[in-house]
Amino acid sequence: MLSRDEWLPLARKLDWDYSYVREDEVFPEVISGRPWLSHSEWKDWEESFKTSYREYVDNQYEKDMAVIAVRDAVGRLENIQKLAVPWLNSLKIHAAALALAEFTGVIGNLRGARFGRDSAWRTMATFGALDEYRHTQIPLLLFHQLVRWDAQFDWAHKFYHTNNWFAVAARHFFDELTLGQNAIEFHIATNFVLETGFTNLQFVGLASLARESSDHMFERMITSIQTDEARHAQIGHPVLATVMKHDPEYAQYLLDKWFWRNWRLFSILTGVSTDYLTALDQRPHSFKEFMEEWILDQFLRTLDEFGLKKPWYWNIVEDELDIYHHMIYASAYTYRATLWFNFVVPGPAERKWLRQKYPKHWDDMDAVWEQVTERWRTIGPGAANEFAVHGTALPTFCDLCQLPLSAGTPRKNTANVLAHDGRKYIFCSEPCRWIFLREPERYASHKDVVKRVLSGEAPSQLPDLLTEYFRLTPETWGKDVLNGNYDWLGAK
Amino acid sequence: MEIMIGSERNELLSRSIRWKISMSIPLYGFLEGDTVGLLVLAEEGQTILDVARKLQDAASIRVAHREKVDVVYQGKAIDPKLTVNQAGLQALDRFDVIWSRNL
Repeated sequence: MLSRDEWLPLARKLDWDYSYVREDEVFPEVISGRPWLSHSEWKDWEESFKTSYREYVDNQYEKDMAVIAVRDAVGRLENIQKLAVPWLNSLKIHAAALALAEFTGVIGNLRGARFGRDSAWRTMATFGALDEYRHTQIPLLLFHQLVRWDAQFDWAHKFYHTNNWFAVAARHFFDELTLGQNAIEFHIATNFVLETGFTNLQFVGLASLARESSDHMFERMITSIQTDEARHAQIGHPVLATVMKHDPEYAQYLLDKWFWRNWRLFSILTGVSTDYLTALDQRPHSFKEFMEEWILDQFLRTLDEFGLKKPWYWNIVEDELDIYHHMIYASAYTYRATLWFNFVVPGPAERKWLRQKYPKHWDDMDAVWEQVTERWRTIGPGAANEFAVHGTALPTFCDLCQLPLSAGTPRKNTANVLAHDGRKYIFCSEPCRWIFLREPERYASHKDVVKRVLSGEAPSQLPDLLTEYFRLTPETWGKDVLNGNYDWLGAK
Repeated sequence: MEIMIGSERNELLSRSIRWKISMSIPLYGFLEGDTVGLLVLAEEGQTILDVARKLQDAASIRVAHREKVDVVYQGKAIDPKLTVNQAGLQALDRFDVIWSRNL
């Protein structure tokens, strides 16, 4: 009888040499990815977890039981209702962004499970698909009970089914990252860049924020998901190593492209949650501190191990750490009715903290918040005054990332216009422009929300845009959490 | 889908939040001090100063009004008395409204 360690390699390395079909018929380049290499180049594909199906099922069962136990103990509605209101809105962002995005990961992994180039890779991708299905169902289950209490939680399921501007941006990203991607690019972009680079560590940080906010249900959910990610993220490393060996320039391109695309969404989700939607006394660190300590240094070390260079725009990422998510949050606050969660105005104590953490540009951001605050003071608090403290002109969006043109600084926005094949495009930043120009055929026909409005595809009046196109309602569109009724507002 | 009740709809409309598209020239406007670019619908015969004021009004929720501003297009300051047509601004061009540094 073989021991487990003797048996498992037999059960994972299952490929034979094809006699009756060609290898490129079994694994076409268009769907397996490039560089197309014969199996001899992939046969040593290996990762460190080496899990059997039985071990996988046993582990996942235990993890699910732990999530259910925590839900039963501290995840009831009355527990959630006790959480700080700003944090609840961080939950709404993550609930919407997470669940169905994870489901796109099922599809990407299933492509790897079929078109990955070695049987061990395909085995891990099969587990990866099951992981992602779990990550879809857990948030849908946990947040579903909250819908009757607060209809904004309905966006956990609804978000990706709408043409809400943020959903357009998220779909633009995930459709390319996971749904329509060949196996090689999917596993490098998702497992190596998104998971190893960002979410694996981000989930540790997010769990820490949840713990500080006394949200033990979300903490458990994120921790449970993170343990799956730590395993299936390993698929990306041996895929990248082989691509590096045969086509290092292409490997560098994939890294540069996907680090930027991930950074864009990540900085909004995590930056806003960390620096605005976590109560001041519960913030263990600023977003910038978290990024520098947990993400950037670690990622650069990993790149070095693979012989990759840091992305050419690295200095832009470092600059944006100080400002991008602040510009996004202030902009979004003043267009909060276009989103499905509520916002808080940073008060004097928060602004003091933000100035201390972000001294480089805070004077400019503080001026913006002073203007918003002054508007509330003038108009007076109250739900009826929400739209008097709200933007009135259509904000604009990047033709690559589909996010607001909020890059650069308040002094100098970095948006840039490109004329290409008889059309005009605008990009929030040089990296977005560069990604577009590397593969214009992929992106050129897509219309951002502004161009949909201009062409008549989307309603041109805000009420219709909100309700008919973004699928919001007066009950669900974003508001100020206190309708401007802040204690500190009277004291200038 | 839930229907917006009449009073809420009227409230929105009465506050002139109408992004009506006509024969206007859509421009990307960036106001110094602001956190996001805005769509500005200009008319061919409108002066550059009027367009700048329009952007300032639209951004006034975030940026305090400044009387003295300059308008920059394709890297150069342009005469605020020119019309949009005379200044050569075309659909989906970028223009910037910056704080005047001329003391």
